[in-house]
Amino acid sequence: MKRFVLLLAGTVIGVLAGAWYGWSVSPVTYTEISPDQLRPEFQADYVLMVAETYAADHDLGEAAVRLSRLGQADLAGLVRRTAEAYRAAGFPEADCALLLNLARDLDHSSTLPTAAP
Amino acid sequence: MRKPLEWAWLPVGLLIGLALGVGYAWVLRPADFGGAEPASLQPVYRGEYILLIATAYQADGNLDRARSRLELFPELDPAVLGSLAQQVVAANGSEDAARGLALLSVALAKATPLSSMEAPATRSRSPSPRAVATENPTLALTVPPLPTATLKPTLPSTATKLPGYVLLSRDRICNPLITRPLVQVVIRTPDGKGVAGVAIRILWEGGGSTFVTGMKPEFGSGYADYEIESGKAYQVTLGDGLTVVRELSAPTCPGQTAVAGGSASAAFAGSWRLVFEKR
Repeated sequence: MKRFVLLLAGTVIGVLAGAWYGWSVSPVTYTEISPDQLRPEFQADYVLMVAETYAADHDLGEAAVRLSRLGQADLAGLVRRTAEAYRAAGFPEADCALLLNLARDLDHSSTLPTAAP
Repeated sequence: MRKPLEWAWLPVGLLIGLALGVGYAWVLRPADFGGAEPASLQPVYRGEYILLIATAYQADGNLDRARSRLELFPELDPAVLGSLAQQVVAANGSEDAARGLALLSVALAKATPLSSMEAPATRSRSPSPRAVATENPTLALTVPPLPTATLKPTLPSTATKLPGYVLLSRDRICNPLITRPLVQVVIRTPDGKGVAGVAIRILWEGGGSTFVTGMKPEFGSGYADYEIESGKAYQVTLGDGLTVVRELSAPTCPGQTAVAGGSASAAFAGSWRLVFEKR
């Protein structure tokens, strides 16, 4: 009985120590990720970069392909939500306008690729 | 003798528990993953992200924004960006991206180091890309249109269209320190400032390539060069294809030129230096 208690106590302490180590001391780090695994703020900036580039080259197909890397099917909705978030956060209106322009053009297009596999 | 054996179950339990706990924390329920930084992207996406920074910079001319984006990639400095631009050109990638990288490389080389987050006091820091593009027109407005991807030389099609570049000088360079013959191109504005990011098409019989000004900022932002082979004739085309320099082949330089002090040496292949002015 005492052996069992000792084994159980050791296991419980070990689990707690192991979880603490795995969560706090040496948590999992992520490498080789895809754009849809970026932090939300970087995803938003990615969308803004696509909109900035689109404003210059007017290549809607390329913009759609780039946006599809974020793994969402509703590309126009993604861009519009980003614009709303930027506006709410007080970003320059020029940035929001670029995003909304891209969202509008995506809405109007019917020949865009779907989300990347 | 029995007590120590009984207590041995405690470390055994600890080891089992540690393994279970670490496994749970690393595999079953990792620490809350709120997303990663761009530096963790797969190489292919990482490259795309960097090119996107360059094309966005080319589009909006906002150097502060481009710099803060590039700070996510600590290994990127102006020289690396210049090298990336060359890789993009060599791989027949997007000329917009190559031009953006070259422009960014030159702009960053001139500006503060990437590690510094603060803009210098002399440069206004506007959050609006449009405003920055207006304040710094040389970045946004001096980028000429690129030539179409054709290996055949393009001749002026209309008498009314003027070339975007004018050849100011075409000099033979006999410098023994230049060990391999080059076509050196310098593009500058009428007030003498180098123009970075101009794609230059070089053609020869059976082939062609493109190189971009600004990838060797140590020689000036408007400088670019291309190594040529002796005995081959080359043609250089700029911008919209209306500016063409033909019949460029490595000149033969006399040996005397090569040796300081006048002692004789074998003749060697020289280079060409073409200076253009952007209209």
